[in-house]
Amino acid sequence: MPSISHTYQQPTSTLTVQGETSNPIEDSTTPPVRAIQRGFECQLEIRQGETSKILRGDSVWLSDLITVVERYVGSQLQGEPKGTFSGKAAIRPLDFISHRLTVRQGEEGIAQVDLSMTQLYDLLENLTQVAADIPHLSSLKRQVVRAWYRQPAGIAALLVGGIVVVAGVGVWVTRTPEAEEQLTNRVQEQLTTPAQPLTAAPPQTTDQADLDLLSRLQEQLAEQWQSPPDLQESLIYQVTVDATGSLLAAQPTNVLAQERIGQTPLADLPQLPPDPLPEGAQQFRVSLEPDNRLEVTQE
Amino acid sequence: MLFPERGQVASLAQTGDHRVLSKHNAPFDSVTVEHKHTLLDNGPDGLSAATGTIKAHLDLLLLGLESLSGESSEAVLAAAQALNLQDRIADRVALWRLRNANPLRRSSGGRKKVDIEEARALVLVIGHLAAQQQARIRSTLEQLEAAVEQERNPFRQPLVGDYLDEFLSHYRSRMVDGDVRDENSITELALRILIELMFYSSPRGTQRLWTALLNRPAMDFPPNSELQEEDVAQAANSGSDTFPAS
Repeated sequence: MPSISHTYQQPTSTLTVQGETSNPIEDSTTPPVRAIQRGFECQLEIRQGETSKILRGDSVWLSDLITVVERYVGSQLQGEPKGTFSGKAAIRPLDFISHRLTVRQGEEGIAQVDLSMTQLYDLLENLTQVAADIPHLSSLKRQVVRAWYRQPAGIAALLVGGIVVVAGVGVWVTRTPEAEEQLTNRVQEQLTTPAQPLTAAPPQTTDQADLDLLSRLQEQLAEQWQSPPDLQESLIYQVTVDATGSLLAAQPTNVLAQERIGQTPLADLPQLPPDPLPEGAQQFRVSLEPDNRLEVTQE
Repeated sequence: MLFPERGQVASLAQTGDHRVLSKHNAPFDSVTVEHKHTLLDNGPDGLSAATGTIKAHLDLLLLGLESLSGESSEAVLAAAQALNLQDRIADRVALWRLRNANPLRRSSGGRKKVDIEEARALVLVIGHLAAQQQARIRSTLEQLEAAVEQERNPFRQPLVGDYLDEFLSHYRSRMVDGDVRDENSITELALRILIELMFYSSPRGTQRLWTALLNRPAMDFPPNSELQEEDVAQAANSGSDTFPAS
């Protein structure tokens, strides 16, 4: 099957896409990459001075990246920069001129790149061009991602301009495209909907609320925690949840917990909790143990 | 302090240490960016006239371009001619009227209403001029980024300093709050305009600008500006050409 590749070049950003087709396009006015049908892969290089960062992904990854970067720049140009995320990509402002891009790539875990405004411009130019060349990008056949016990989760939690935006962490089983779309919609809904007042939760006593949060956290983690076969010791985290039970942050409290956070349901969370904590937020000690056991206790 | 007071900048300039590049002889190659003159999407239904926010922002973007290049109305008129927009921006007087429709402007007597087609023409002109000045915009922005990263004063960077000086000077002399608005606030506005111009210098810049303009939140105008946003909206909705005198 013929292979097609193309490189999009900007001063600080190079995007190479490739894939296979059974019907090469012969019309010279149509970009050849539009004929890609399967096996899509891309590599993005972001350069700064002598150093560069390489990111890689499939069609869904690139589609997520295009979505978040276009949406983010749109918010910049409307005068109200807002962090945003979709599936495997997230971006947020660091200050008025720099930005933090976070992506999940395959089994390698999370990669983070800080972009200047000119780097963001170059990245957007490449992404906009590839989106125009391959309008069916998001519907290309997905590649099979092999993981020893789970699919990578989406980028599901980040802090946006001081407003905590949280989504559920775990999508640990193999997702269908429909399920992923539902997840993405849910995540985006949480991003664009103004923060729900925490006081809107049904009134209950503090002790009862704490207990509910604890048991919900325990249930959620119990469903998701699958201990790696070689785990010998407990991984201990200080986990922060908001009043609705959504996970806000997970700070490792032992070295092993730091090293192996990527293999836990807490992998996508920021490590530092928001300061100050949102009203009603609680912190718990979570111990993830061998044999899929776990323990959640009040801090 | 990220943004120094003007006096501080003036003293730096007097030393001669920092303004090594004159704006008008800076070694930039002219660049040709092929703009896709796509038909810009229509605005929201029923929007026949530009809001005060749209008028103000278009004028500020033109102010930014003017501050970068030192060129003024001639460049805009040449761009309008190159884009076949003479029927919307016919001459210097027409341009003056369009720009003075900005509610932030000091001057009175200009026409207040800008119809949506005139706003669209200005968007195309701004995209065209930003593309022409892309090399300068990028270099200025790169200097700004380097200064911020190294915690140096942006005013001391030749290109950034020249741009900010020009922008501040134009803003002070032309805008109704120019005398009272905090210098840091004007500087921040100037830098945001510079950043926007970078994105509008792209071949897709005009569509980006148009989309951003139509979705831009309403701007707060100073109490003594010529026209408040709600007045413009009401007048636009009624289709009236009669506007309250300033």
